[in-house]
Amino acid sequence: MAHKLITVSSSWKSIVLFLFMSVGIALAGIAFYLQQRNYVTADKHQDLKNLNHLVTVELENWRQETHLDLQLIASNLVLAEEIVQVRSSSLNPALQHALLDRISGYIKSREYRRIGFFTPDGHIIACYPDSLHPAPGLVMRTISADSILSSDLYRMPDGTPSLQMASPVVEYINSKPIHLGVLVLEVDPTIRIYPLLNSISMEASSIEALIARREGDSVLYMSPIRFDNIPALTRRVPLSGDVVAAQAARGLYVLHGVDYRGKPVFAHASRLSIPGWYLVVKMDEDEVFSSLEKISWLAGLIVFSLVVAAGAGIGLYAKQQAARSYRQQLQDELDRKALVRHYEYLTKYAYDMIVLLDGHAQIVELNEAALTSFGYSDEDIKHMSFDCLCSDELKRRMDEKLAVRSPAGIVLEGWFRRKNGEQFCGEMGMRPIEIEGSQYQQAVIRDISERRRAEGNLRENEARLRILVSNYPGIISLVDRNGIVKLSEGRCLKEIGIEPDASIGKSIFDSYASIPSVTSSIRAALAGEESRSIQTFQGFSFETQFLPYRDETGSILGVLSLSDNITERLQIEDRLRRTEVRLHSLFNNMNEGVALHRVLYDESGIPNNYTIYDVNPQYESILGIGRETILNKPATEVYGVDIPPYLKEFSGVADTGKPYHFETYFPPMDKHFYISVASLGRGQFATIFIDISERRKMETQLRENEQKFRVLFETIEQGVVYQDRDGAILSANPAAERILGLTFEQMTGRTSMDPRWRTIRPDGSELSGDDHPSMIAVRTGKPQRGVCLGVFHPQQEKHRWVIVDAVPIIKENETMPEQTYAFFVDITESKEAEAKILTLNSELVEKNKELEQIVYITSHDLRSPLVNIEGFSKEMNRELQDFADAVRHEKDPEVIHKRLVEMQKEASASFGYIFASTAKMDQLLAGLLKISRLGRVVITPRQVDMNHLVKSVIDTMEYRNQKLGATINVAPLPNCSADELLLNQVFSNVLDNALKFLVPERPGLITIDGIDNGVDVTYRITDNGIGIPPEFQAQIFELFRRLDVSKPGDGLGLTICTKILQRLNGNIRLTSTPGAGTTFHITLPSL
Amino acid sequence: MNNEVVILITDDDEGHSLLIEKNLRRAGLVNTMLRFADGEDVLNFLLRTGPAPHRDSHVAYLLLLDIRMPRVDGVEVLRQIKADHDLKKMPVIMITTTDDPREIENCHDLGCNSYIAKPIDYDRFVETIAKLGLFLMVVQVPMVNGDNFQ
Repeated sequence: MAHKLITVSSSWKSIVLFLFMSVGIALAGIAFYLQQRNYVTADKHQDLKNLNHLVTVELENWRQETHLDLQLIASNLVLAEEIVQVRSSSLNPALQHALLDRISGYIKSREYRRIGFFTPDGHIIACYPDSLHPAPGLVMRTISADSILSSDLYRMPDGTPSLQMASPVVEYINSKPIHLGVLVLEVDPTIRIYPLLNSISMEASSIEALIARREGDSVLYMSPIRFDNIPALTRRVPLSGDVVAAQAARGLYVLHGVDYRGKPVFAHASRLSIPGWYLVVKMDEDEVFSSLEKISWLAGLIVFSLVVAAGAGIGLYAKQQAARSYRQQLQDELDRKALVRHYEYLTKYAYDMIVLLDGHAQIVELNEAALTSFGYSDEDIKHMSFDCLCSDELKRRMDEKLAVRSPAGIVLEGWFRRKNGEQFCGEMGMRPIEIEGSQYQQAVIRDISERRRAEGNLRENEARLRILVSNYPGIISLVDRNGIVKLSEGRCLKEIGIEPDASIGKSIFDSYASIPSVTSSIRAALAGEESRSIQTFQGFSFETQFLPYRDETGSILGVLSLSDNITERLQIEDRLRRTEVRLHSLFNNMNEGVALHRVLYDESGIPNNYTIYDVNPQYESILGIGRETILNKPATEVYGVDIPPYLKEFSGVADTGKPYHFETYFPPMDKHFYISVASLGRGQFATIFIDISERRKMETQLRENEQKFRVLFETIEQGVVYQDRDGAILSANPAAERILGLTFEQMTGRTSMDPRWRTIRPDGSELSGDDHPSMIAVRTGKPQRGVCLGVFHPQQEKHRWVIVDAVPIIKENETMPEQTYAFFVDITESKEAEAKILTLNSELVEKNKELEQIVYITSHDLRSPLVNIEGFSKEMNRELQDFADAVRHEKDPEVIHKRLVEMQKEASASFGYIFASTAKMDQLLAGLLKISRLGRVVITPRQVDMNHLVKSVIDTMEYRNQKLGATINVAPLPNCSADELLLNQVFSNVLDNALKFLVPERPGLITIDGIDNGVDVTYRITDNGIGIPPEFQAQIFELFRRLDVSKPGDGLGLTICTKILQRLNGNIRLTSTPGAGTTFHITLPSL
Repeated sequence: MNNEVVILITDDDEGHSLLIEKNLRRAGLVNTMLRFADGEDVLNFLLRTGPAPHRDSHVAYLLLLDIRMPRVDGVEVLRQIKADHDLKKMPVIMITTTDDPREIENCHDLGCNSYIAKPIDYDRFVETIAKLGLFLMVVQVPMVNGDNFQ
């Protein structure tokens, strides 16, 4: 039955599985088809896009080509001339013809329909090959746009489509464009445009390219429609709606809609460069998906085959499952029958008695063993009540138990009765069984009388033994052959906190795996060998005897172990031994020499000597005396003296028990000792001593060294300070006090962080305490060397420059320093010298630059006049030569005179240049001399009364100024430090300059004032003259530089001012507004 | 060189200008030559700023330019010419007393077409200018404002 169920459920499962698989395969097929469809759609859209692009490019090329044609014709310069001619000849046909003749060949070859020239106001000049009507407004628009324009596609009155492009014809006169007219080209779209669209159409395909434009609420097809046979520019569709052309006009590009036939199409649109034109390339949806049809057939076929294959597979599997289950059923039946036979055999010949009872406890059947045991014959006992075979007591208990009706049956022990009245003890199991629908009880009885008796005896023995065992003072235990603990008793168990039965039943090999002496002894005993060993267990020590125990035949049954607790005994022994070892080790290994003495007394009990009865090895090595030579000898003999050394002190200690120690020099050995004495009980004492001779020597040396270093520390030129981890000064030498300008008391405890140091770097920036070399050294543990820094010297009130070396002091066994010492050298003087050299250097560089400039200028300015002198001299020489040649053969005095006058004129001009050049050179050389003198003049700066100085300068200009009539206002001026003579020159030059460049048209006004800011004084000389443009403001200070050559001057005035102010540690600069005036600012050191 | 090219001589030293012109004539040049006393004058002429005279649009020019001049020096003139859209094609020949190599390099960097040092020795001066004359006779000069070469 169960197997059938399995079969049915599995066939159900198969059907469900089959359905699932079919649905899965179908879904996969559909997904595949959809994916392919997407692929094809995307693919076709890409194709359409590419085609669209192709046509766009073609159209663009055509447009540019036409533009070029137009440009080429319109920019032909001869054309312009001819147009002018035709126009001016009031359209003379001959001239018209000439104009057209030039271009007719070109027009023909380029397949333009017509060409025409028009005046800017639209009147015809000439047309070819016949009259051309320009598209409305095209001429005017072209003129106003001044560039090439195109009309839209339109239908001419006769219905043919047309397109016109126009270009202005321009002539430039004096860069101004003059419009001569407009050139119009008429294009036949059927030749030039539509073929471009058709170039992608194929008979076999529904692909079609269209151009369209929007007109109000509708879209107009500008090209012929392939499938409707409608001429171009006639078909319209509404702007709203699904028609792809309308969608394109609405600005969409990738399209899916219907075409003018209402047929579903895919399309791609683009906007063309001609305003308002759209290009639509479309393809029928049918064609797009036609390739898909084959795929869908194939997919369907594959899906169907897969479903069939899945069905067949599942059916086959289900069938196999069913066959296997039938085979299993058959096998089970065979097994069961064999079992029944086996059981019957067992029952009949079993050692145990087996009795079968019916529902009324009547004996129905029994085996051989039962017949023999109960002593009845087979006939007698059948149908007897089972109760007759049981004792009363057993019967009662059996009834009680049977009343419970446990299906598992009952087990009882009790007495049974034989036929002869004997009773035997039996163990009975009874359980209900069903045989062919009837209920029976089967009783199995075993005779256990013998066993009971033996058990009784044993129990008695065991009780006796247990008393013995449990009172055993140690631990007694018994293991069997397998090492299983059978007994574990003894008073000691409780002491160590183990319950007597805790280990029973466990394997001793497992429990004592950690104590190999136990397990190995057990194994030895099991092999018949007695042994005894000591174990420690949970802090207790046991001495255990392992004895094999045997049965009567002598074979080993197990091991008896008897353990005694010997913990305390061992502890005491151990303590004693360890103390002794320690003391002995100490005695032998201590650094101090030890000797044990016994005091010797004279007759009256006064100590007079002592002997040594033991010494340690150190004693021998310190004193260099062998142990054997001194033992039990009096001290006088040992040390070779008359009176025993330190007898009084030693015997005192021995007598009073008070320890005593002292340092001493022992002349016989020439050694210092530190000796301590301890009593060892009356009359005995120990001396413990060390040789301190070395230490004494080192102390002396150390003192001497310290003295030497102190002298060095006190006297060296370098400053030395010791600082702790925080940078606080612990110690400093006199040199440090001198360099830092502080007494030791003032600097003690001052840290590197202290702001009073005002520590700076060589560049003058502040050095924070953390960056102080000592702090870096203490932080990093690395010495810092050669750090230059400035420290404020409070007495001198300026910074002293020092080079600092900071060295960390790292104590033995430590990694980081606790202190540093910093030593430093005062380098202020050398640093100042260095700064001076730097200043001088930069001055030298400046001077060099100036010198270079002078050399450069000189090379030009001095050469210039030389060119003239040489040139005009030679010219004159040539003139003379020419004259001489001319005169030599000339007889006519008139002519000679004329030549002479000419020559004199030439010569006079040449001499003029030569004299001017020598004067110029003289002036230049004088100027250079002036400059060079300025460099050598001795300067004596002192306080200058500026009001007085300026007044005297103005006074000397009085005469010049009378002519100019300028007003000079002088504010009260602060004084400064300068050389009066030189400063006079500066103010003369500047003031002279100011007067020279006043504007004649307005009254001159010059203002002089000055400001003293405590460091320097700045004077300002402001004029209202012509001013200096920004680009010349730097030039005017240059050597020989003159901005206005018409004014007198040598180009030196301001150069000299600059030089003088350089020497006076001042400077000069200017600010100026061209046309409004100039201010010179002269800065000089304050007093 | 086309006879219509006008040669502009710019030198603050009137004697120098005269000597240059004299020797160019002697070398056979019959072109119009205009002399300017400093950079500002020649810039006014070329850029058509300030007072007249100004250059003509349909005339080709060639500029001989001294460097060291008051107010606007030759280097500045050269810089402004080369920065001007119309003038930058005009040939500029530096002609100066200085033979400082830095100055020469500076002028070449700014785009001068040639650089001639005026020798003090007059025979060499004459020779140099004669060579310049020969050079000017064969050189092609573009119109300053147009694209056509003559």
